Amino acid sequence: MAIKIFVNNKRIIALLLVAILFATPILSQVVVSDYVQGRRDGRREGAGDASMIWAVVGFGCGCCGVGAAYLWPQAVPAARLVGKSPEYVRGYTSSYKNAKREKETIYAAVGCIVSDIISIIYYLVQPPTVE
Amino acid sequence: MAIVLLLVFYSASLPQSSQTIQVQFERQYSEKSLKETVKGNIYYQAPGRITVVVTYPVKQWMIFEGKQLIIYYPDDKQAFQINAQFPISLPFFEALIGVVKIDYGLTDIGYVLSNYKTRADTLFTYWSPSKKKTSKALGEFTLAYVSDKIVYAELKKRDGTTISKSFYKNHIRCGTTYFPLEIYTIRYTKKDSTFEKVVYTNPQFDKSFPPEVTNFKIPTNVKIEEINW
Repeated sequence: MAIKIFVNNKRIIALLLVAILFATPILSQVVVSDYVQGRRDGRREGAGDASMIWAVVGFGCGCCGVGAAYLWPQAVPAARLVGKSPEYVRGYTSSYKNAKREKETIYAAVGCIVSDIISIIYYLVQPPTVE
Repeated sequence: MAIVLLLVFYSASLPQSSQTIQVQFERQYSEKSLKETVKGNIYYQAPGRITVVVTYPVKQWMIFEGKQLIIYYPDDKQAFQINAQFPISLPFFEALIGVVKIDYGLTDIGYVLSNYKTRADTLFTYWSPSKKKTSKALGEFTLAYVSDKIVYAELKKRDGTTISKSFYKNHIRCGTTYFPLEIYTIRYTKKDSTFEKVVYTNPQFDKSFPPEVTNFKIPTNVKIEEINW
């Protein structure tokens, strides 16, 4: 019975299979692009929101400042998630925080390095004390 | 002395705050070639529960409560729960409910009134960040009023460069408070600037919410994705 149905409708079934074959990559592309767009936006905006004040913290506090920049909790940019698809939210949240933290840690590290260089130069150029 | 008198004067006209606000909104956001429009309803329950029901471009529920944000998609049967270290806010709505507080809530976040001046019918107040409470990145805040209506706000960095400017229009009176129904905000970033226009319509104060908002719960068959921020 089943074979009979298949033989009678094999043209329709074949067309259906071809349609599914073509539709699958298109559908997956839609999902991926929303996720990828979210990741891209999150990375860009996270880096853009990074505060340069961490360079000052790194300069003043050295390695502790770098550690603080890495561990300091971040604010959630909730307004940027309003009206966005779940895939976008997933992509955005996965990249924003890391991008911001990464940039702020770099700022703190640069501040720390500049502070160290200044300290080294200071010790090198100061005249030796005579006892 | 003048500043003290000014504060006393404003304290006398302290508005009665609404316990609930529900309002329809349309937010237009543009940045470079990107233009977005989002429409929906916002339900605010004092002291700090905000429910945003987005109807366009996607169906989305967002529930802000303290340090937690729940995002639910009824059509996709997906949900997120974001747990943060700080209270999560919705800046474009905070701009509306901020007018409930006479100082725009600036005192609560560590600002102090440093100066004021009047120009024609406009009162400009200048607020400085106190060293202890506010973020090191934030600088002076300027608020401008015309006949008790807030019409302009500007936030600067410590170095004096402007972070954002907001213009408030089309005020509606509720008790002694004037709520702006149109808010235009320009935010200046390192490379570019963004423009945001939020239009509120049909505001209702101290009215009970629809039952689906009051009794909102994510269905048990929906898996909640937890994001620790």
